[in-house]
Amino acid sequence: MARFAKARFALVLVGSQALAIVAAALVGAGVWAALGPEERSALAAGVMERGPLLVGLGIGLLAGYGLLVWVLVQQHLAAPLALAQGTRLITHGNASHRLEPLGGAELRELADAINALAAEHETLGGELEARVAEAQQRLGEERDRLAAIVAEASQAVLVCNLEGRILLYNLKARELHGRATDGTSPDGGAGLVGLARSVFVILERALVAHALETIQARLEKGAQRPVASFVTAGGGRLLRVHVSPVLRGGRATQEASDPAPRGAGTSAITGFVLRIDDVTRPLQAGSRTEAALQALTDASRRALANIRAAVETLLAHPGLEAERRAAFVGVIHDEASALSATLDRAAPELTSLRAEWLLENMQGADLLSAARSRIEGTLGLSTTLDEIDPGLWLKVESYSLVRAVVSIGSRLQRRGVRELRLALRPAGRRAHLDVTWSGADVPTEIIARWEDDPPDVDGEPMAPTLRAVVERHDGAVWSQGDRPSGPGFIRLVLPVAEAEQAPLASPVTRGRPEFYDFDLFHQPGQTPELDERKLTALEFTAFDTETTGLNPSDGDEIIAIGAVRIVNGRLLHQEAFEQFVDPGRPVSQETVRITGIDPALLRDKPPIEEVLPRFHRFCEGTVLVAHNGAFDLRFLQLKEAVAGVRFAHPVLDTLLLAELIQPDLPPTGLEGIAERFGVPVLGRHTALGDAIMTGEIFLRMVPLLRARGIETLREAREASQRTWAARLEY
Amino acid sequence: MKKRILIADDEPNIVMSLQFLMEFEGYEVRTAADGETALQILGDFRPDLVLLDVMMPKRNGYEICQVVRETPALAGIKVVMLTAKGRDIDAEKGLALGADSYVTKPFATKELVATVKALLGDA
Repeated sequence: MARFAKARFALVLVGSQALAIVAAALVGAGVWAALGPEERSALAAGVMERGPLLVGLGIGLLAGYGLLVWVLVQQHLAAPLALAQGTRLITHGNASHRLEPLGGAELRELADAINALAAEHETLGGELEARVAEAQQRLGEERDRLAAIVAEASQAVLVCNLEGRILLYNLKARELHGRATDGTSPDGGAGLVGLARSVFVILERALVAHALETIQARLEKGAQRPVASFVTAGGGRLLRVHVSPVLRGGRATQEASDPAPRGAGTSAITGFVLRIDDVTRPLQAGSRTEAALQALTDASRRALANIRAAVETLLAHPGLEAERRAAFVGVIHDEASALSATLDRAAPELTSLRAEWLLENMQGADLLSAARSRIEGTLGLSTTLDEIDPGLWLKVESYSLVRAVVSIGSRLQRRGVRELRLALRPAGRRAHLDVTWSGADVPTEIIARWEDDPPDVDGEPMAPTLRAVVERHDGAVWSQGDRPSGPGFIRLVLPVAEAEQAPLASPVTRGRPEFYDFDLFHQPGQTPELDERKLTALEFTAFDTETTGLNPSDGDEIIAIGAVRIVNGRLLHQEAFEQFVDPGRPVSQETVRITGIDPALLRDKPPIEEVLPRFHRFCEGTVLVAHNGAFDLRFLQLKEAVAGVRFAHPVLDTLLLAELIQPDLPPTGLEGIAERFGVPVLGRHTALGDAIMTGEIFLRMVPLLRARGIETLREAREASQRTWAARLEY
Repeated sequence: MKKRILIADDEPNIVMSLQFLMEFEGYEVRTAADGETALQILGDFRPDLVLLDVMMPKRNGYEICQVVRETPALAGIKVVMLTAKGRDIDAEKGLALGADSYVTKPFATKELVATVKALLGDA
């Protein structure tokens, strides 16, 4: 800029002086042309005579003019440029810089004004920074507080994004699933709950999806805080799961005058919170109590009926012969004694109330449309709904109920039914859910048998029978085959709930949740090909195996698997997998010497076909990392058939990556590479120790790979392949 | 001709009382202790009314009620269901499947007799 100003100054100076000389020459030439010959010679003589004086005068004039231009340029061109530079410095660099007063009075005033502005800018900036720092601190505190609340919670808590990746969990969640999924091995089971892992490894996806659909449907109707819950069985336990949505908070700024509040637009679900209780014991107690109560009631009714009939016969017929009379008295005595015994047996069981909490309120119309979409979706069976009163709410466990209806549909379809009709009508304290059809011959006794057959949809062996589902609702089921007088139907009688309060008409601005604010929901999913993702954004499982020898095809077997997860560039030591394996064959002295594993220790360990499925679940959705991975993978792959799993995960090999990064150094073992990359060598020759070391080495490689232009998984794999090929050529 | 009643219940202690009461009222009575037998006797004996316990071995009372209602040869037989199941939903089911009356145990014998007589037009 300064250079530009000087150039401009020189240009102006030279240009204007040249102009002055040309002007003077033109005036001279004009005068010269107007003169006669004598006058011309007289003038020439005069000019020649005073020549030095005239030249001096000309130079003096030019110099004076130059000085004048220089002063003007300083004041009006250079000074503003200096001000501009100073101002830029204030804006972009140093907010406490101030301008020197320069140039004319006007410019000095401008400098003062800019300085005043700069002072205000600096104060505001300082305040803003302080406020940001304060807000961040508060956010940090809130986050810590939330983490503390979650950690202390007596329930298992899992926060997940919409894809079901776990963003936050507490100890209870780990414990629960450690036991729930695999009672025998707390190490492998607990590893299933971890940051960024899929929650669908431990909970059935369909159940969670169903709960979210229910919530979404209620949100669209304007419900304020919809939650859903279900009960699921796993590992011999019953878990009650409450699902509440995490809603996007920022967009709830609807115009207050908007007369039609639309929940859907302002409340997109971005994730969900699962609260899980282990209800195995309460539920078992509940159903025992219920059964005992039912048995007691039935037994009492029977016994009393018999006694009463006998007594009333005796009373009504006083003249009965002695033998008959004795028989009736005998009946009374027998029945009364039996009733006493029944009461004594039942009393201890009758300590709690029925397990009614299994049921939740649901709008009848929602239930039927859920059933219809499942029937049409899974069976392709055309289904029509009769009009349903929107004020009809049921008290139901919707998942198993919908499944029961789908199962009915599936059976009818196999009997030739082409179209179903679903209807729901109130009937006192209960409602009738009718599945109706016509035009197919389905005998009554066949339908009656369906009540006790397990439903045959989804291939779930644990699914309750139609009768069990209905009894859970304190309801009943009856049916009628096709007759000339009318169509066939199956009627489920279900309890009616009190209608939930309809949402008010005024739009409610939904604030952000009060006690936390995570950025965790922005994690990208696994669905776009892993290959295109950056190494820094992937999840890895670094693993290692110990084996009885080096030749898997000659019968050498795995004796230990160790693995550790890497998420978001961190090695998660607490989410480790370590399992010894019974190799089912002797372990060589050499192996014992290297690994320090006592063969006796392996005798009561599970076989590989039990361990591999658990390891497979542990590394679901991740990229495998191993040192000399080809060796470990060969062992794994030879066992795929017996274990019934397949390891199709992408694999990165730290041995190949090391060659990629340092091609000039000779290949070496894990220990040598660890030293090269500055990773401490600890716990060598234990599977978990080596897995952790491999993971640490890999983490240090990622930035070095990036420096070589290798950022995505695909790039890393392809580069590894080239290295591999290059090695083979030697 | 005497009107005929079938008593189907697997508990001899109540069958004894019911049989005595019905015979005293002048009806011809046969008894069955399970569902299969009840169905046989229904065909052979062709009663005017059946006292039907819900919980019986082999075929339960609901099934037998449905058979009676679906079989033209058995048309017109009155069905009185007896049950120790106290839930109103069970009564609803019995009536929905075609029972003429549904009596929950325990009951007053006088009222049962009155119900039977009313159904048979002997009141």
